[in-house]
Amino acid sequence: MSATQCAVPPTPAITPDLALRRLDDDIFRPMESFPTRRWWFAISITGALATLFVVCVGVTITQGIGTWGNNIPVGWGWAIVNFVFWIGIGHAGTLISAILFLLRQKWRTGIARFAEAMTIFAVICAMQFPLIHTGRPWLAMFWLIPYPNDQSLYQNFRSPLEWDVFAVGTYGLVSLMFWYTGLIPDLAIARERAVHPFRKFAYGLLSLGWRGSHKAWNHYEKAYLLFAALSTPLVLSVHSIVSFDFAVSHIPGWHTTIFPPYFVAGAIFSGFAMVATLIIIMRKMFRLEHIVTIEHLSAMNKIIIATSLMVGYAYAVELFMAWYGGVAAERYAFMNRAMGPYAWAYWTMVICNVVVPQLLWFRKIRRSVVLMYPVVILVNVGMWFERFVIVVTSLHRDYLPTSWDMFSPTWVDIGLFVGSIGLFLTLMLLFCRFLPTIATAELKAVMPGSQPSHGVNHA
Amino acid sequence: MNTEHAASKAGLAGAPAPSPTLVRLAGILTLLGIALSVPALLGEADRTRFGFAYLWSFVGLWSVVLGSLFFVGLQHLTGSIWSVVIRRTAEMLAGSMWLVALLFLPLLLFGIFFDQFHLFPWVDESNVAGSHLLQEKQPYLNATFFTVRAAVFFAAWIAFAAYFVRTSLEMDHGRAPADAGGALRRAAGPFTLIFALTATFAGIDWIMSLDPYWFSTIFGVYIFSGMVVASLAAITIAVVCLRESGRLRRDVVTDDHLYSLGVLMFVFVCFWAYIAFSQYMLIWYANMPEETAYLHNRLQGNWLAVSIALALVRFVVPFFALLSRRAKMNPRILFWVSIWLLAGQLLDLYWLIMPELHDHHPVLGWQELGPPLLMTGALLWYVSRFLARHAPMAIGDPLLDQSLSFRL
Amino acid sequence: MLDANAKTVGMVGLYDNVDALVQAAATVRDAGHKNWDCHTPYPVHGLEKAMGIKPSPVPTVILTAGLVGLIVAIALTGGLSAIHYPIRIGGKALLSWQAFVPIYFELFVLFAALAAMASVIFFCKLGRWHSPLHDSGIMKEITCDRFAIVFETRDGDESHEDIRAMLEETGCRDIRPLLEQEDEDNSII
Repeated sequence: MSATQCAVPPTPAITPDLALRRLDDDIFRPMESFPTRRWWFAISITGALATLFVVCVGVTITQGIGTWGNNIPVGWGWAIVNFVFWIGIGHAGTLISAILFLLRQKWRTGIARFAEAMTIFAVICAMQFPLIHTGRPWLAMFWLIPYPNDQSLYQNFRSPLEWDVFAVGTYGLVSLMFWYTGLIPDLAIARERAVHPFRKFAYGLLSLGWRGSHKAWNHYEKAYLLFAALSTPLVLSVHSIVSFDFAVSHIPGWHTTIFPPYFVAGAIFSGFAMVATLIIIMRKMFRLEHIVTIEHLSAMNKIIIATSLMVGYAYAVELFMAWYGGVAAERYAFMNRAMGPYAWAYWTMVICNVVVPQLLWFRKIRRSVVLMYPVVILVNVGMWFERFVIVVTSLHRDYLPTSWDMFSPTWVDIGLFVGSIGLFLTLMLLFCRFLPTIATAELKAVMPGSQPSHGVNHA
Repeated sequence: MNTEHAASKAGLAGAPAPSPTLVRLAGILTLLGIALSVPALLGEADRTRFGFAYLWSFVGLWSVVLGSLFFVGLQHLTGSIWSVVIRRTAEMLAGSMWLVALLFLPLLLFGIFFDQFHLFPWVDESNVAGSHLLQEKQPYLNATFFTVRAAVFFAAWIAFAAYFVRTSLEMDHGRAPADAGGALRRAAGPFTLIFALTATFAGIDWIMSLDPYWFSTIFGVYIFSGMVVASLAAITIAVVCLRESGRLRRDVVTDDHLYSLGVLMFVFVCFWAYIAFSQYMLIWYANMPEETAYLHNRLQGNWLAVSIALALVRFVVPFFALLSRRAKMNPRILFWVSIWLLAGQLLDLYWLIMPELHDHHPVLGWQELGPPLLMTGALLWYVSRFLARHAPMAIGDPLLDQSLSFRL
Repeated sequence: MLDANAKTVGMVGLYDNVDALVQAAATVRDAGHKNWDCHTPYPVHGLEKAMGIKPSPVPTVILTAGLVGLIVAIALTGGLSAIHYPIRIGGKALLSWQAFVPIYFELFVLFAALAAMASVIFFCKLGRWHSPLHDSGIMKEITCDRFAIVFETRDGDESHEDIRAMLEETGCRDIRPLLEQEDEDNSII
């Protein structure tokens, strides 16, 4: 075969020629050494922001959600924007861990654990907003979960908000179990490497006495595959159900049938941007550049382009159908988005989500950490604005012009959002300290020469 | 060097050879199609029925061919390795795009310009004069723009199909330029984008505008999902038949390759169900008159049975048939599920198109059968011609070696 | 961690090379041994064939649990919305299945996933924190980069010498006794 003929080499799972022992050392070092000064610096900032979150939750609960900027007609404000934003962030984690696993994309192994952790923390952040918006979250259990009560009064199972309870609850729980299942063999490694008796005890407890028996691996791999097979439709269903919150209504700009796949594409888009944002810092901070390589980042950038185009497609089809459908209210809603008082938000969204990511078509930008970083940051910004545009511009001028109003956030709104970023990053930093950030056992299994060379598997 | 490479691979697949059985089958179907079409065209009432049936089977053929083109583009885009050994069958189907364009012409002439078929209400000026909404949609829904759009769509599809297929065939003989693989991959990105837009608007033009009052933003995705299922089914049928006839070796196209096809089919069966349910449920839930009329027509009278059958045929049955790993590897099961899924695609298109002509009662008589038989015959004739001239596998592809050793 | 009370309960052969392990496993399988297992740092593909392990029942368990979840969801939504506390909302029928499909799906996945987690713990025999492998310090090597074939000889059917001879025949150069702490109680604390 001619060498010039361009065969696409599959993205390798890892830099070749890395000894297994060296791999353990590299991955477990951050957990076993005293935190660096950079880590303390980072967590003190994120910790402060997380404290801000707690303060704002306190204000909300003691004084009520009147402290938020919500009004009539904008009855849904930043809380739902943040909820959808965080749920969306989580989706890339499941995508990387489940869908890419089913597609046998071996490069995912290097970043899967990290992305799954991100999913769980993003879902935790997301759940805060619907919980605190109930005003008395300690009673939310009784309102949200169907249980046999004295009044024989039950939840409305036709409400998309009740679907959310099932979808987000299931999603959080399944993601946690999937993540933990993946962690078990690595926790056993951590136990064996631990020196301090307490660490040995803690990791030993969590590893459930994993012994790496092949009879166990045989069941384990089947279960892991099925976890992936279950998570794949689950992740689609979760953001679809989140989109139903809007789409089952009559509000112009909300009721449109493309919402489910459009929201899913947007979620994956924003999630990948967030994974890239964080993992670029993480690999630098813990010196894991040879495990999370530029090939990984480049592959993620390609998915960002693809999902950006899907989101752009949805914007275009919505605009066209708003005109083609000929419904006056629908046409006005889209005119108002593009040219009304919130036009700046709409165009921020379009530029950040559709225009800027096209820069990643250039190989040079796609493969340069410095050049891609601003792009992925802008995608994060753009996707937050997408939810803002959907929620606020559709509501602030509804069917009744006498009730039209503008929305402006209060300091509590801003504090809750910024604080939730702090909460999320704090959890991520703690995760990097205490748990293996790379799926080590799984990575070992896909390293060159790790599988038997005879038999059928000689690819 | 490339020539030697191709020569060394020539033994992996059967040489180009005519297939008399296929030619005979194509001839019989075509003649039968013509025999049924002519009387239908002569009567005034039957002519409209013929027109709808023609549109119905044309869209079915189009979805298989364009879906195959998308499959080819997607494989290049992702640099897919497993699919190299079966990509030629998709290229074969995609290469018939010119035939699809040719079959579109009668539709354009008698459906739009002479309006003999009474397909699209917006073509009839008396309809437009009586409807404010249709007047508003005139800038989009008019004969000239419709024709221009169709011309642009077909030009794009034919150009991409010709490029992808020709390059792959040139590789067979080592005549492709040195960086052909990279060029194909670079072309696949823009192709996918153009495909998404053209397929969506073709779906809107040819199917959705049959009821010009109705609209649904997910419609393009709905058409796409059905199209992918149909084309995967057609590709699988071709692969299994070529494998059974010995023109593709069993140790070359292995069970693992079949399994990958089966998985894709299974995934898109589920995807179709997801899209179809999303569209149905959102319209049902919001219950707004401008949208529900469309579903209402399809849920009343005997159409309700067709709607239920659609869910069973397109989702429930193939879902369980393909659920197990063993089924996805079994050529016999894959073949029959694929036949079933192609029937499902025709049922889906029937469900989309025919209620505009027959409300309350689905009708299927000899008047409807001419065009589908004719078009199946035409496609099979094209396939036999292709197989007589070209190898059934992309033997010159630089990724072929890796694809041969692909195992799960 | 080990003291004088340690008792030999089996034999361990350690390998550095995965190919050697798979071949050795096939040899052991053909010799017809019971009570043996391979321990590896990561899943080795094809080893189950070399060891002669039956396919895992996990998929069946998970599918069954999912179907139970589906039935629970149908009963929950239908029973509570249409029978126990029937109330008409939004002009929808009491048994408006369209609006319940999301819940059907979520509970199917939830039950199946809980069964998957339970299967991992049950079939992989997790939750037993104490084992001779930990006592002997062999876990440290087989979680990192070495492969082991482990024989348990508690029932006394097989002699340590026979096993040692067979392991040597497979080319194993690191053969150790499997030790268990006698007076260890099996709780984790």
